[in-house]
Amino acid sequence: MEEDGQRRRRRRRTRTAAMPERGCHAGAATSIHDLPNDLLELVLLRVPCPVTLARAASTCRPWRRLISSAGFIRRHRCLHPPPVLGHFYARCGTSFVPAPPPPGPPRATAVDAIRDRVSLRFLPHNYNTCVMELTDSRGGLLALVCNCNASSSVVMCDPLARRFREVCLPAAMPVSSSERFTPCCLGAFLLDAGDEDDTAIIRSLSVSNFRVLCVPLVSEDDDHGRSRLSARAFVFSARESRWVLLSLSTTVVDPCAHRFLGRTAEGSLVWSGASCGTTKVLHLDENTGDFSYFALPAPAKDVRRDVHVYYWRWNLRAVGRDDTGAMRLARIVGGVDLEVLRCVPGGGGGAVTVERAVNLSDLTGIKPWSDRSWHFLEMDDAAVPTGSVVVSTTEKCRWMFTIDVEIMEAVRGRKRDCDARAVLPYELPWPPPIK
Amino acid sequence: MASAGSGDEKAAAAAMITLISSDNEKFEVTEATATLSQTIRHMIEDGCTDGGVPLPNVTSKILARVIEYCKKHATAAAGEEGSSSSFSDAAFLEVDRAFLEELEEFDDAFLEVDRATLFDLILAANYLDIKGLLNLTCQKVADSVKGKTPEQIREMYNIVNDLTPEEEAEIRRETQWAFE
Repeated sequence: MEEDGQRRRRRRRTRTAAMPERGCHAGAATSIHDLPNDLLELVLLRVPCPVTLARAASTCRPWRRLISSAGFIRRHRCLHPPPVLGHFYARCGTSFVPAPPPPGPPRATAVDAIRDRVSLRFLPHNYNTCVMELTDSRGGLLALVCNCNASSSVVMCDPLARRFREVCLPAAMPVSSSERFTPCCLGAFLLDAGDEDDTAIIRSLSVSNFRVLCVPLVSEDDDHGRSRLSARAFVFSARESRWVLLSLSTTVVDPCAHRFLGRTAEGSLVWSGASCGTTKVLHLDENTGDFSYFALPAPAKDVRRDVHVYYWRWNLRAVGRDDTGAMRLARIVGGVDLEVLRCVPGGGGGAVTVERAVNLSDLTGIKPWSDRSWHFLEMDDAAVPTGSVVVSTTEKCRWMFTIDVEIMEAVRGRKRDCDARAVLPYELPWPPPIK
Repeated sequence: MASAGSGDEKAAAAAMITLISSDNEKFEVTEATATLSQTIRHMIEDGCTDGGVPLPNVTSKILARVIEYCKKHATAAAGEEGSSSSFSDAAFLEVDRAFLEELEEFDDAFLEVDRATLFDLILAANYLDIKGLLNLTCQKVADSVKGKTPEQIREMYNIVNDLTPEEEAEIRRETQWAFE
């Protein structure tokens, strides 16, 4: 009986928690192979370091399958958010600023050594210039848009593996003969890994494994011979090596350059027209591909200096969605008031209402010399809590204020501002971002 | 409520439960110790512990260790409950810290076992549903692979590499940063 039990145990590699009777004697030492999958997962979820896990995944097939499964990656990301190696700053050119070492006594970790290897110097000289605009950083991969040629292109760039891949925008696939692609793309945004099959092995993003959403503008002549611009959403999949049209905006978009206002955690991409008097905000839901636009109401107060209101990142931000799924924008009116706008998509510019409004000087207790100088600060998104915006004044103010738009409370901090157009956190490629 | 509760607890603490290992060894433990295991707690609640609780998945050697852990942590839990009402805050914090330190030392010493025993403890903690012990033992194994190469991990746990050279090359290519 006892020997029988031992023999059975040696054969058995996987067992459920409600396991049948078994003998457990010194003769047959219990090993890691005796752990059923759910217990092995409990063990490996307690390994916080992605470097160690990536190595563990290459020991054998069962470990690889477990560590690369969608469920494991989701749980691991939840328990241990992937370390941010640093930030890419989109100025004139793109530069990497390594994250400061964690507080406490200096100790070299595996992640530190990797941080030192992040570089864009491998790119051909003409790539890393002003014409290449960094628009996304996700799962260890960067997406840059090049709007300089007659046809735009996007460049996917892996600063750790030091590889890149350029993909031309789908200029050869207009929807109708009257359409032309303009040399303007509103941005390229990397999509999460693991789109279709949840049981498959999830690979990290790389130049040979990515999906990127691009939003080029298309010019079309109407019946009167006038050209109109509209936006398209295309997705390029590296695996299939082709573009797929996701959706087209039925709205005529602003002919002037569009300013990217942000990408929210829920997958909303938001732009404002950058011309004076423009009150339209273009919105794309990256999950559904639905375009919509919001017509912003005139400022509630009479603001003398804002006769020609225009919006950019310094006075308009995408905050996220509220409980009902409505889009929230925050705007600073006249450099004085902070307004929270609730935007519900719909015909004719949707329904946009001013949810809350507050005088920033009153809220923060800071009276700037010029009382119209409040603006949003450009800083890395990781430093901004979800549902918050960061404001300061243009003067030599030492403080910045993080304001939670839900409760309209300001938390004071020492000012950190930068001159970059965008600051994007750069994560280790593993665990990959996943829906 | 407090006085009535403590009377009940005393009665409960006095109640003894007999645990029977797979090799038929009997262990007498207090109910407070035994109920650290959710599995046994449910059995007690269902009233099916008369004549002892057979634990066919746990050997006497491992059960003895598990009981040692439960005894220590049951006293800790009882100590916390008792002290919260009878000490002033400052004194409570002092006692609490000393207690936690002692408990940590106990846990560290408790984990000084060979690998086979460690895995037996994980299986027993899972079967008996003792959350604290499961956390502790799983963390110990997780810590052991820290900073190791795939070869070292394989050697440590007798893992046979069943990846094809192509698969291995693919993994290296994808996660090159982890191997440099």
